[in-house]
Amino acid sequence: MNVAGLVIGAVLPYVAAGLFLFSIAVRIYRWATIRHPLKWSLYPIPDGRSAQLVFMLKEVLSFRAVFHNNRKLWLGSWLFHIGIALIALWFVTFVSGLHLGLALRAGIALITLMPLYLLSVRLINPGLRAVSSPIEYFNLLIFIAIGASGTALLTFGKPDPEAVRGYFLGLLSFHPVPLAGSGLFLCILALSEFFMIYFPNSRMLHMVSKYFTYDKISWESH
Amino acid sequence: MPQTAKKEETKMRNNDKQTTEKKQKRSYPFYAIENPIEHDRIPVFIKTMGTVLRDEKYRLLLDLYLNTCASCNSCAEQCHLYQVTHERKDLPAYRSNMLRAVYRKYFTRGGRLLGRLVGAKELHEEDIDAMIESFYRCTMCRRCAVECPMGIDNALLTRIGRCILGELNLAPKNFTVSSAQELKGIGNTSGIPKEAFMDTLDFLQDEIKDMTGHKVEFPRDKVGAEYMFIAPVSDYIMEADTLMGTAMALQAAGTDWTIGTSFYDAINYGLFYSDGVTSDVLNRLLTEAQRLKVKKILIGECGHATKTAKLFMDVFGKYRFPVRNVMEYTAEAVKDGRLKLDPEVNQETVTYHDPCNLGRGLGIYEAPRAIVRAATKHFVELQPNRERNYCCGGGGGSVTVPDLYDFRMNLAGAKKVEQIKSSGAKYIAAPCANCKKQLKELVEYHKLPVTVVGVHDLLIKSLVY
Repeated sequence: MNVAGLVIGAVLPYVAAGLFLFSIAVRIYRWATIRHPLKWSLYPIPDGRSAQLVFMLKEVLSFRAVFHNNRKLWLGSWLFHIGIALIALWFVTFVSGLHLGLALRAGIALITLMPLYLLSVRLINPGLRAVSSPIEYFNLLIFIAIGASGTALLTFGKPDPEAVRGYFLGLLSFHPVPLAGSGLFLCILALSEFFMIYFPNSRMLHMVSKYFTYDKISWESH
Repeated sequence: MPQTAKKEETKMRNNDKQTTEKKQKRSYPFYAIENPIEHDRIPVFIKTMGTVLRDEKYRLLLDLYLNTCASCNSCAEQCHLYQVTHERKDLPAYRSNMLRAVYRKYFTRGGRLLGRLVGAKELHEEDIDAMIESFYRCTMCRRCAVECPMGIDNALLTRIGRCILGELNLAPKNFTVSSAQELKGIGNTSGIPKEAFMDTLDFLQDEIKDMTGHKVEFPRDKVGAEYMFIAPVSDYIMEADTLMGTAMALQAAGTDWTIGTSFYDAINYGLFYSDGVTSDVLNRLLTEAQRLKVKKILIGECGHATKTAKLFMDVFGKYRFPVRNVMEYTAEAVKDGRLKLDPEVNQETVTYHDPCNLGRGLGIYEAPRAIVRAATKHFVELQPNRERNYCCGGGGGSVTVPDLYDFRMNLAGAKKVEQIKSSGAKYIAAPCANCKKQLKELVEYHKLPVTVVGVHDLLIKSLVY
């Protein structure tokens, strides 16, 4: 347990976060520095920089295209991403001293239930099934696993918020403190670390790629 | 659908087994192909794909398009073909996945290691056959691209897929033969010799005189003119009214223009299957403009010709010229009062079809509408229209492939037929030569009470001198 605690609790967080940031940076750098890509414009192009930003923002915040094309899928994916945002919000405020318990609980519920729902939508809809490779389901399963262990931890482990905050602050100030307590917490940590390493190499990097497909290809006019 | 998919897969596998067992010459049931390569298709395909992946103009978009699809099928909801057939091979994302499978298997570490888990698949002969079919069922209309939340353009992947197949000589015979004729033969896709072309221009001049009483000229080889006008050569045979209307408009607007008689075909089939052909044809066009020392190039109503010139000039062009579509020019002349049109002479209801290459491809949505509105009394929109307009069903060059006739009439064109019917229009104005041909065939096949015209056709009657 101690060795696992040390590796998962004190070493891997840095490795995972490092790889996460580094790999994303490398991919963005690669995309940003490719010169003379084909300008394959797609009209209408929002008129002017601010209109383009508004368009992107609208798309990112509302998932307009999916909403327009598949309401069932939209509901699941939108709420799922809201769940991720809630957890991120909780984390940022938590290490700054607040504890938005409701945001955390809602976030965890969403990242558990929505992928389950999305999984069933994907399996039931023959068109979606035809374009899905196993990795699509795997991506959803990672979230289900993280969410389920989170739910279990909150329900049965009842961790002390102060101890957890102390642990995160220790990590953030590069003085990791040993992680007291449950295997469930370790389990969540390990899954999240795996996710952070895996994420930049997966298609989930679409949160960044979108900018390039619009800005460097579709919105280049002639 | 899953059962059909399964059946399809078994059928395909069995077909392939039979061909390999009998060791017979491969046959392509989809359309006629001239001199396809028979051996080493797999290594050549993979090698060509590698070249395309390293190509500077495609590197970024392929990295993005091949890696970030979220498999949400928004594209399928937008596809005029899938909405009719509901066949797996017509799902835009499924089609693109054919390329993704090869890319992952041979060009990514993850794919080599994890295989089918990440959608990587070893390339087999039957996969190439499936691509030959699927990439030519897509009409490359890009309606799906408008609705992709990731900004992926499946039509461009179709084009790249076709280009790779093209390197294996796996392209419809009608493309390769016409392109050879344009590049190495007589100099245009319809095989019209210069003398016959000159006669046609004279004939059109006489026609205009007979019809309207006005003397309108088709100026030829005028060195130093402001505009070189070039249209698909087929228009001179099939769309005489469009060209007459165009010449009348250009003359009435006081345009300094000329037609080159060394190269007079704007058709560039390269857009549909080959970068090499795209580049060669485009450079012949630019060389003609250079020879005539014109300032700008004015392309006829045709969409793919305008798009190819505008899009690929920076990439392949030996020379640079500003390129405009003639409808942009005419609309401007109508707006600033150089052209006066009388809508009273065209009383019937007219609608307008947005060709994919002019609309989504170049953003030319309003200019043609301005002309049609000025020249007719009752204009109605097709629903949906502009960037959501449906493809005529013959896009991506498929209209030139006779083997695809039944497919175009019954499947690819089905949505268009519905759309035309519900518009109630008596005339449908369509600028593209490609769309016009398909629409005319659809009208005949489905006995629709509509006449297909070009945009400038409407000017013949309505132009006020």
